[in-house]
Amino acid sequence: MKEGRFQRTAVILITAALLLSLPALCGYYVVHNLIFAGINLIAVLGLGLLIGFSGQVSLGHAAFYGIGAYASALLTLRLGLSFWAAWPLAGIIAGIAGFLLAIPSLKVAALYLVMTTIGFSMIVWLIMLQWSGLTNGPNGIIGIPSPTIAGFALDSPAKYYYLVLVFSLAALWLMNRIVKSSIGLRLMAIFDQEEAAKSVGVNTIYFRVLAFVVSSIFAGVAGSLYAHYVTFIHPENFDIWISVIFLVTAVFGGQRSIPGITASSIILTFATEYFRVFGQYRMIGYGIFLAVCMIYFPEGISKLKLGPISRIFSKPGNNPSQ
Amino acid sequence: MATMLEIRNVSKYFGGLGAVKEVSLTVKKEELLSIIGPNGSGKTTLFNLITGVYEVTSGSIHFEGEPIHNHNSSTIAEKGIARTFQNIKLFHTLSVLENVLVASYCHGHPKPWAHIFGAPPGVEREKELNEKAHHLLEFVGLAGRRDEIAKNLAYGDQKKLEIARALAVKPKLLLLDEPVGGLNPGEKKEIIDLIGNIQGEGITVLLIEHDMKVVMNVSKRIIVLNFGQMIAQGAPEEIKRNPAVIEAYLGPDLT
Repeated sequence: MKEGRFQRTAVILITAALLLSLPALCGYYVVHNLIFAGINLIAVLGLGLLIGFSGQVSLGHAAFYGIGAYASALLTLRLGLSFWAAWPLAGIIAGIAGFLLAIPSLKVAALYLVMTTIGFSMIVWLIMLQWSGLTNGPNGIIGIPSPTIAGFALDSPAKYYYLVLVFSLAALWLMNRIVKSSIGLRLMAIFDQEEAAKSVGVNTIYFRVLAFVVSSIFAGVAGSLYAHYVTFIHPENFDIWISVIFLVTAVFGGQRSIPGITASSIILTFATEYFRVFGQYRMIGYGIFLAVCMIYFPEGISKLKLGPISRIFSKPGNNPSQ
Repeated sequence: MATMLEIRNVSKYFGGLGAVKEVSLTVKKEELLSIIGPNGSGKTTLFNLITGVYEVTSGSIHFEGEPIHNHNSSTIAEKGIARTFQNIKLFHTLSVLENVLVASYCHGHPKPWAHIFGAPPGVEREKELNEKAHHLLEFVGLAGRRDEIAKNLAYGDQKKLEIARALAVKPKLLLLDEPVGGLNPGEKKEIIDLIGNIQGEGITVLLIEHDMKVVMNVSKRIIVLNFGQMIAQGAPEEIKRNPAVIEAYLGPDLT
C-alpha cells in the first residue's frame, strides 16, 4: 500500500510539473489548442453530468456556451465590469437559461428532448443574429477585454493557459465532488429506475432540473473563458456544430467517467485542429475517426484497458469506470 | 389499535376498465394485513394508488389521518410509506450498499452544497448513514455482499435488497408486493422470518402474496380482491371457508 501511495504522489508531482511547464515546452499553436481543450473540458464535464447521470441528452449546449460568452462580453464592455465579476454572472445567467429550458423539458424524454434542446439552441442563435441592439448581430462583438490580475493582463496564450488550467482543475474537482456526493448517487438511481427512486423519496423533478442547471452553468463559464480569450465573438461560434462537438466529446469520453471526458476533450480538440491539413476533407477525416472509435469502443474511451496507468489512478477497491 | 391507513371508496379506472372499484379498507397500527386475489384483481394497482404512482379516479386515502391520495410518490415516502416491487426494480448499476444509501437520504439530508463542499457536519452524517445502511444489510442478511453491483445478485438476494432499501426510508407502513414470488423453500423461509423481524420493529405491513401457505401463516387478517372489488375480509380460517373466495379462485362450477 505504501508503495502505491508513493507512486500516486510521484505521478501527481510529475503531472503538475508537466502542466505548469507546458507553455515553455510547447509552441504557440499547441498552447492555443490546450486552452481550447480546457475550455471544452469545462463545458463537456457539465454535459457529462446531464447525459451520463441524469439521462437527459442535449444537442443545444452551444446555446448555454454562447449565452455565457455573450453575457460575459456585454457585462465587461457595456457595464464595465471586470472579468472576475463577469464570469460568475455569465455562469448564473446561463444557469437561469438552463432552468427555463429544464422546466418544459421535464415533459419530454429521449429524442423529443433532443429536439427541444435543438430548438432552444436555434432560438438563442437567432437572437444573437437578429437582436442587433444587444448583440451587434452578425458582426459580432469585438474588443472583449483580456482578464487582468493586479494590473497584469492575461493577453497571450501562454498567460491565458494558466487561467484556463486553474478553471479546468477547479471544474474537475467540483464535478468529481458532485458525482460522488449524494446528488450523483440519486441521479444514477433515477437513471436506473425512476419509479423506484420516487418510491424511496427521491424528488426526481428537483434532481433533473438541478442537473440541467449545473450543466448550463458549466457551459456558461466555459463560454465566458472563450470570449475573453478570443476577444471577438459572433453567432457562428455558437451554432449547432458546437453542440455536436460537445455531445460527441461527452459520449466519446464515456459520459460518466471524469478521466474519460478529460482525455476525450484533449484528444478531440487536437484532432479537430490537426485535421485542418485535410482542408475541405477535414470533416470526413473527423467523421471516420469517430466512426472507428465508436465501433471499437462503443462505451467510450473510459472503458479502454490502460493496464498499469489506470491502476495508478484508481484507489484500491474502487472501480475506475464507475 | 389505532388506524394507520384508511382507504375510503377508492376507484381507479383506466379508460373504461375498472382496475379497482369502490374499495374501502383500514390497516391498523402494527398489524400485518394480507391482500390476496387472482391475477388482475387489482392488488398491485391498489399499492400504486397508495404510493402515489397513480391518481385515484374517486375516493380518498388517509395515512395517519392525513389525506395522501394524488400526492407525489416521493412525498408519500417521506411521510413514512415504503414499498417493494413485484417485478424487482433495483438501481441495477449501483452497489448493494448504495441502493440502501439512496433511500436513506429520504430524511433530513444536508443541503447539496454542504455535501459538495465537504462541510464537516455533512461528512459526519454521511458516516452515520453508511453505518445505518450497513446495519440494514445485516438485518436482511446481505452485509457480505455490500460492495457487489445490484444486478449481479442472485434473485433471492435481489428480493432481500428491495426490502432493505424500503426499510431505509424508515417506514411506518411497509408494502410488500409478492416478496416470496419465485423463491425456493429455503429462501421463502428466510423472507418469512424477515417479515416477522420487521413486525418486531413495530412496522405495520401490508402484504400482497400468491403463496397461500405463507399468507395463511403470517397474517391475522386477510382481504380478498376479485375484478377490482373486495369480496371478503377476515381471519385466515374464515377466508378459507368463504364460498365467494373459493368461487373466485376455482370457478363457480366447483362450489
